[in-house]
Amino acid sequence: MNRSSIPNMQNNEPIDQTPRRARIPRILLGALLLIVVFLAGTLLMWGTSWKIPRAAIASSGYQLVGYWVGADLPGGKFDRPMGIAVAPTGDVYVVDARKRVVRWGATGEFKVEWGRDGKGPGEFSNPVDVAVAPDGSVYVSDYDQDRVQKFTTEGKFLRQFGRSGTGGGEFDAPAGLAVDGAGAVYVADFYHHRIQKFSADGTWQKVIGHPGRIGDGALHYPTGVHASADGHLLVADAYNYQLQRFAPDGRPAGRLGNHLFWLWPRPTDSAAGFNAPTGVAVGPGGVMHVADSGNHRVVMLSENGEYLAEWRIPAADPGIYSPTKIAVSPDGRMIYATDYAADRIIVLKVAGPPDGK
Amino acid sequence: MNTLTKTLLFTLLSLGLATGLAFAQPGPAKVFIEVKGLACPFCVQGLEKQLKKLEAVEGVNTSLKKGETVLDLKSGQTVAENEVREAVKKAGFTAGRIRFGEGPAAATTEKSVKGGEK
Repeated sequence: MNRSSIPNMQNNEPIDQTPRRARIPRILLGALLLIVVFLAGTLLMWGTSWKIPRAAIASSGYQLVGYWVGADLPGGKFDRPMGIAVAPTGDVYVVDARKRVVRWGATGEFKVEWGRDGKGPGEFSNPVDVAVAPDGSVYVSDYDQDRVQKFTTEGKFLRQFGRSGTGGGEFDAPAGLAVDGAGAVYVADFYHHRIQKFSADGTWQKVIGHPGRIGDGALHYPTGVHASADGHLLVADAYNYQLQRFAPDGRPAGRLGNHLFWLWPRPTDSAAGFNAPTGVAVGPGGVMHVADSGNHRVVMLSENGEYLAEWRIPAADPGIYSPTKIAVSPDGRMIYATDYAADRIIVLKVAGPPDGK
Repeated sequence: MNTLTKTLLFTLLSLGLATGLAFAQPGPAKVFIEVKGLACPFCVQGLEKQLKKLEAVEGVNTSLKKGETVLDLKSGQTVAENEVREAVKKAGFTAGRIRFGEGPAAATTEKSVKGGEK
């Protein structure tokens, strides 16, 4: 044997005397330990954190009333409707890809529509959400133009705020809108992973939440927001696959359905966890209605976040996340959700007590 | 075939070719982009928003079912493949195969993409 083929004889390094057979089990043991730790972590998260607890007693449920396709609309049937809101009067507002806002009465009778392609007042490139203030004024966010416009109930332009950019009062795709009891406006700023608050006159006030995947207050592509009368927020933190609550001062106040789905493949037929919840609405008694778009269903949760009921879109197109946004009538009895994939509005009735109890 | 006949034939063929080119009406120039993982309407619109920012782009249309976005280019304009890839990347996606071609305006393909009028 050539001396150079025995390196340890050249540099006098100590030779590992451990027999090869003894070293292999040690490596295997280490790998096994890692696998056990990983599996335990996975089970912990799948088994506990992400699941929404079921309410012990749930006497409410959803009943399908029907679908609104907008056959009698002057501007044509619905085309990829996204945003939806209910006014204090019970009137329903919808925005769709025809670059317009449509208003109906609660029983489905058409009242008015406005909007056209363009960048001026009352014009849109891509209206994606609508919200109604307590005084009845209407806000519409434009995903492409990075602005929010305010209108009267009849569609008269009042003012606008927001522009493209990264600073306060600037957006990149304002995907969701809400108005609280004082008239303050909240905007889900999709690509900036934050919520922005504005006063009723459109003055920028603050940023709520921050970009992130883990922990309270971290948002990842928020798409929807609900504001209660006193300014508590419920955010559809769509791509953290959860809902987040914020106190009126902007501090995080808890999460619902939180998990780390983004680390693992998401179940497409989850009975409990959310898969891209893109819209939220809150009715009397704090009952939450969630447009769980990736699971093609509407979910009802109690004020405490317990699962009460759900309604799934029959024969939903698996290739398109829908329903997108959701709204609830002032008495909590009627639910309206935009079905982007099927160009229609889903109308559901809450059977049983509207507060879920 | 003498030189005169050859010259005459060449001239006629050239004229025919030139006339054909002048009166041909090709469809608008298009770019077909394969994008995987499209399902969410917000993501699709984010993708289209980035692509609309490209100087040469006249219109954008996405088929969620096909996982394909089609760009209509402005008359006489072109776009580089790396520009398209960069715009798709900015929207949070990765472009697969990119194909340049011609065809009907993207707007006319929308309903077929969405399964027809309901």
